[in-house]
Amino acid sequence: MAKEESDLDKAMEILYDIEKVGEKIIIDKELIIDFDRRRNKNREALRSIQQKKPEKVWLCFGNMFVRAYTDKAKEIIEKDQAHLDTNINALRDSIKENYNDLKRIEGKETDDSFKLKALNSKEVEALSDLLPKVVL
Amino acid sequence: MTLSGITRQASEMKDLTKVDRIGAHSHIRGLGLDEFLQPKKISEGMVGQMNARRAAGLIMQMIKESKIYGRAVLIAGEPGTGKTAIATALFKSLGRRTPFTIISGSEIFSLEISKSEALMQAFRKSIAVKIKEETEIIEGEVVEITIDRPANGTGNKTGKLTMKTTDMETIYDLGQKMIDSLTKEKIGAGDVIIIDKSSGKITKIGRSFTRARDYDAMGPQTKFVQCPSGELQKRKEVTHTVSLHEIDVINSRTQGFLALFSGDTGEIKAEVRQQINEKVSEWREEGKAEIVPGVLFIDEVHMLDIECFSFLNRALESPLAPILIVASNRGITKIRGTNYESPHGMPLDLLDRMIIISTVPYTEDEISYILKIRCEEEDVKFTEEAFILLARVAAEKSLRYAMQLITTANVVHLKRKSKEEAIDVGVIKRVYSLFLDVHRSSQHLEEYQAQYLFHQTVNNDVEMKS
Repeated sequence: MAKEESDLDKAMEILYDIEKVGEKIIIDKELIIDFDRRRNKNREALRSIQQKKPEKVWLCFGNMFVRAYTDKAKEIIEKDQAHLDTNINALRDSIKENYNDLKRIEGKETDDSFKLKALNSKEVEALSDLLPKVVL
Repeated sequence: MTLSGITRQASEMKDLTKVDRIGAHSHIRGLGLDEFLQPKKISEGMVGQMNARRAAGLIMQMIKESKIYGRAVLIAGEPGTGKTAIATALFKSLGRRTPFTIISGSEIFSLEISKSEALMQAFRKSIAVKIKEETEIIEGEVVEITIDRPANGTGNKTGKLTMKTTDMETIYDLGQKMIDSLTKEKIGAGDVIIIDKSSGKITKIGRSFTRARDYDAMGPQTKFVQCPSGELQKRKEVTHTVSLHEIDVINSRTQGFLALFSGDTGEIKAEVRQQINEKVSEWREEGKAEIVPGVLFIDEVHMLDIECFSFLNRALESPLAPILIVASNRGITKIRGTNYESPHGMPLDLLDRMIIISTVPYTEDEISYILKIRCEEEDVKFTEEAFILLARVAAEKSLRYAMQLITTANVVHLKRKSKEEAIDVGVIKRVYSLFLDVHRSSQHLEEYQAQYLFHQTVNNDVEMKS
């Protein structure tokens, strides 16, 4: 009787862990989408500033509108872009980690080959005859 | 033609879409071990041979944990005791991640390349390198494309491209080159595309499902795909596994007219290999590559000569060496290329480096089980009596001979067009009398050898058939 319970408990624990890690991955994916949305909006803003060249612009922070000089505004948006880029990259790395954790909990083989550093374009070109062309 | 006649013909047609080549060892799916690495008596196509399979299981575990490289294993046993079967089982059990090259001892002798080059190539094919490529791409469905040609005709077009995914939408400003690529690829609204950020290359994946009803008639190549989801700007990472031999080949190709003079001998220079080793080690240190040592299996290793054995000795000691598994069915014989006799036909110093697994002849039960598996694999049915007769033939004559009888008996049975599905004793007796096994053939020779061509008598005269 006691053995049956511990098997059930073990199963529950595994399911709990799987759900926890799964949630993390889903949340990170949603965050990346939000960040990318902001990134694209910032880019559109920078483009329109570049084309129309106004003296002052309106900036919107949450529910607050601020009027600022164009160069200051550009600085702020560019800093935000850099920040978003680092965040998105960090999230992508953490998704890879969590995915490996998930595979480990499920008892499948983990693939560490995605942790390799990427080859630069010259090296890829040197090997280009060997590597198959992969489209998503 | 009656209905039963038609259905009989239909059942005789085989499903040609799934014709796999049925070879001597195609029924083997793995080593057949349980989670404690103990062999099950009959599992995954392997029967009996418990000790050898247990040993092979240990070796497989060590290979998977990358604990042995540059080591050698010898599988030795009488003919027909499952040596090649164990190697095939090991290959299937290791999975696709581990490079596994299978060659036969006599394959390395060729007029085009030298023995050491052939062996070296086999070694290099068994070591793989994992690398990763990464690009940033923009993947989405095109909502609209607007292109403005400037009024004063200086020629620089500008434009805007609106792209979306199921989660977001944005507008990109286009420069001249991008506009040209878009018009060249004939991208329009509703197409799902991928733009490579670094190279600017545009690939059309297809047309979005939601736009399928836009037109009544479409070109023959139209493919419909789902609108992509997630963020527009994605990072694509692809890992590749290439063997060292493939890298050697692309780096040693002589290009252009120089090849006419130097000639493409197929031999790869040692300097090229040296440079590649250095480059791969450099990448490994930078974290850009991972080396995956694999397995090289040389069957009939007694066919190699003394020079090859010396080469093997040396090759096993290099830092990038795969695991060498060899099989031999010779007892104490001469090493090819010398007059010295040695166990298994291999020099003692090489034997000393090897872990030896020995295979033993099968028992009668095991033989009959193996025959049963082969019958299933070749899709042939025998009656009870016929199967017992076949098993006796295998036990008294040879297992391989009995396996050959399975296919030939099937052919005779089909030709007879009898109603029974199972082959009976009469058919087996027929093929037994038609095809001789080794024993009967040599007996026949002993009786009638004087009548064969070029038979040499004791005083070495050549007699010709009159």
